[in-house]
Amino acid sequence: MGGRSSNTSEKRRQIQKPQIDNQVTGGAIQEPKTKRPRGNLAPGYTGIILAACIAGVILTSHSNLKQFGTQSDPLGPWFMPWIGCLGIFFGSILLLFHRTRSKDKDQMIEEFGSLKEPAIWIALGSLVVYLWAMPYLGFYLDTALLLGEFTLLFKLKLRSVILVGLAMELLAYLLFIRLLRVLIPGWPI
Amino acid sequence: MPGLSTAGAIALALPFTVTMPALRGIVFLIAMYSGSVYGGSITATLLNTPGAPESAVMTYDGYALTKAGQAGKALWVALISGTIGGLIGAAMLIVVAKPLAAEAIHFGPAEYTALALLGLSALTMLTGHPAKALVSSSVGLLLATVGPDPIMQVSRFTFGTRALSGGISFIPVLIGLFAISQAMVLIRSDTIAPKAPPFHFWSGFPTLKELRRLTKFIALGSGLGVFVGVKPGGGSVVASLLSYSAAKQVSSRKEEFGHGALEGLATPEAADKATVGAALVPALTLGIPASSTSAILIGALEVHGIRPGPFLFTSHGTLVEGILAGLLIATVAVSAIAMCLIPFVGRLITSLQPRYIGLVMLILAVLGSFAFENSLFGAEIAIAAGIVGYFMRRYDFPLAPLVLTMVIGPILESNVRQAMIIFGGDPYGFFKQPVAFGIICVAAALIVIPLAVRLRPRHDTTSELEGV
Repeated sequence: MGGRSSNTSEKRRQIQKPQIDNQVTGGAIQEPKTKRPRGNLAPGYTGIILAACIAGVILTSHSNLKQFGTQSDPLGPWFMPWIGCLGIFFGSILLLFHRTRSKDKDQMIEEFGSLKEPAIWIALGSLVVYLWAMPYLGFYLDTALLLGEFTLLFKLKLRSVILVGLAMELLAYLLFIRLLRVLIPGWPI
Repeated sequence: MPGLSTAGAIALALPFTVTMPALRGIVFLIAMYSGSVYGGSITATLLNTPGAPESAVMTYDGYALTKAGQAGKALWVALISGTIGGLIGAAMLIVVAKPLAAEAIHFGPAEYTALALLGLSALTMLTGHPAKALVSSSVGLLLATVGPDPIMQVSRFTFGTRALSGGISFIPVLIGLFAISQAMVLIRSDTIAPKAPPFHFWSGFPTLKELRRLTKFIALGSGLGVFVGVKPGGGSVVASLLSYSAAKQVSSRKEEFGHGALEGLATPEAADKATVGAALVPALTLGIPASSTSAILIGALEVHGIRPGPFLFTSHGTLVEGILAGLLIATVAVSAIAMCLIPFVGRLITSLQPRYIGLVMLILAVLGSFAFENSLFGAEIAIAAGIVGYFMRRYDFPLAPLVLTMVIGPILESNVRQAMIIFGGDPYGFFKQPVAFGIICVAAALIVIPLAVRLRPRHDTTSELEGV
């Protein structure tokens, strides 16, 4: 079952995302050139166990078991969180079971690079920093810094990034701040 | 636009509709929904790069026709069949919605519980890997429980913070999951925007004989699209794949499929567009979304203080009529606009590089989630959801169950608890309600039948589906 469902999943992925990086130049169609960085399709044991542990911690530390099943409300307010946690728990066990039985553990997803690429982690981390810094630096400066960082990280073309940045900042000002009256912290406080 | 999915695009557009009147905002989103479904087929046909997952099937025969120098004909067939499919889906909504809503007024907590269970089971079993869908929907269920519970107003998972005391709105989560995670994928991708080959659109109009031959397949696709689109979790991806497979089965030119069969293009395109109207049936009449996109439309209605469900038709009758008319007009208008734009679309797509589209998406998503609640908290939720969404995409966890469960979860919770109060704590009460019992049986069948099929001795059925 495991092998087959994994196979099915892979085939479905091939249907949904066929040949993203094909190139056609000068009107003459070339065959697709795929660049396939390796990535592990099935989540690792650590991830699964971590998810189950988080579910367990939330379940035990934040649910008041005494509030289950009162006369006026037989299920109580903690029934649904329990169901959610049990769902995560059983889902994790099923995934673990599936991974143990699965033969092809090292399948690839085209669009994603390896998690060993530091750029991915830096980019995701910088999103958090971007938001944290926004009230202090203001939207315009903060966004410019983020775009600059992405230019270096992913080797983007500086001229295109500047164009995108200017267009977005103008859009933010005209559409969001002027028209929609959104209180974006535009400048440093 | 390759890479920018329908749900992602609509999630990005949602904050813009906040300041619009309700009808204008909803019709704007519906028109966008309708347009992006067709737009995905253009890139699939011209560039072999589907603009959205549901358009992937169109690459098989659409791109084969392009390679054979018949791109114009392929685009015309897609346009005609998509328009007819879209109109049939809209007609289905118009015909079915009002009687269904009138019937649903008599539904009590037991029936709503059963409907929510049906939605959840369909989502879990029909959206990719069942175990991953179960984890995804359970996370959504947990997120939906943050804040006060619907019966006793007990505060849950707020960690003592004011920001979480009202719960987590699913709109920033949706923007993060679909738009920010997709933006991250696009930014790091090193793909070059493909170039469309030159083609003559106007001279590619199919002959009367070809159109007559396609009628049966357009009807088949539309029928399947309506059937699949109404079911929660069905969605346009399933509809287009299923209809392609069905068209191949009934066609007398099976050998042409995958090599430029017009039937292989017309059937999934009609199915794809028919799901747009069909998906709105459960969303408007019962308040239960059938797809991520219909969940966004429910969210858009809720932003304007309108609760979708059977009472929507009595309390906001004019709005519903406007939405129905808007869907019909949008379907026709999208086709008319597409006719004008298709000749230029090749050049337009070539000038847009995925990496910079990703940058624009990222900033728009942050601004949009900020604008939604006019606070940094919405943007924080969106960024967190974006990071989670990136890893979910990476490990092939479906995103739709998480968002849909955030909508269905509160409906399920309030109704199951009300039902249990009415039944005096006796769960067998559900089985004494014939409608609820029937729906629960269907929900159970949705889980049991696919499992039974999986446990059957193996033979490769997926090759039949793909078979191209």
